[in-house]
Amino acid sequence: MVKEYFGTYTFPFNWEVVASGFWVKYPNPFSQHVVSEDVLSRSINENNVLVTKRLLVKERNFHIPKWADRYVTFKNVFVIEESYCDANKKTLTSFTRNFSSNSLMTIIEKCVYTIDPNNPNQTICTKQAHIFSPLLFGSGIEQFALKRFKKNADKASQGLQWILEKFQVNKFKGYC
Amino acid sequence: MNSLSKKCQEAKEKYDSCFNKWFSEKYLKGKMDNECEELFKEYQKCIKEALRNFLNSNIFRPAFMIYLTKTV
Repeated sequence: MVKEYFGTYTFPFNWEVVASGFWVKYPNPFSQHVVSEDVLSRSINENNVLVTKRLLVKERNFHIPKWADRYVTFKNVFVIEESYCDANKKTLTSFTRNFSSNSLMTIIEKCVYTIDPNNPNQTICTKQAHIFSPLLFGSGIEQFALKRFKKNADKASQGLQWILEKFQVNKFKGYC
Repeated sequence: MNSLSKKCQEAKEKYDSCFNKWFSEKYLKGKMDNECEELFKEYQKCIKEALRNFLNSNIFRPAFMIYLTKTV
């Protein structure tokens, strides 16, 4: 069983500003559970696409259902984010994979940032997530995770939005 | 932003600020040079070592650890 999530977000900033903000989106008040961020690899491939792998460590800031608690041994959730930034096509695609507490469940999320076809000064982010648990009783965990994910997906976008607004306040001109 | 390892914080900050400048001022404008490479190497040396220590200190190896072992 796999649960799926789809969502679209619009940022009132051009693509270049959003792509620049993507690298500095932490820390922000909407993602206080993210405690560290490190680059594990980065290179430019033959198509001039910037390929980056980052490790994010999040603190588990929620209470999981009691019946599942004994399976949880880690306080932290590790997230691997792989991103492909194409300056020519002006797309930034990120894949994140959550390694939560002893493989209790896995969340794979794909986000694509592109220019809003209806307004070139805006950027849209299309988010798609798959949540699955390898355990026999995984369906309950998936349902729980999906509920949480829906709640947090908005926060993640609010966090990026907050960073982008800060850029503007600081007279960050962007690269318009 | 914090690094996983306090020891690597300075190297990370130096690299990050170089990268962010390069990304906006060079990469987005089609210039593909590698001006942050030295800082990146220094930072990577530090963080890879920190990750190896982290892996060695964990006897439990769930999926994430196995994944990391392939990366480090």
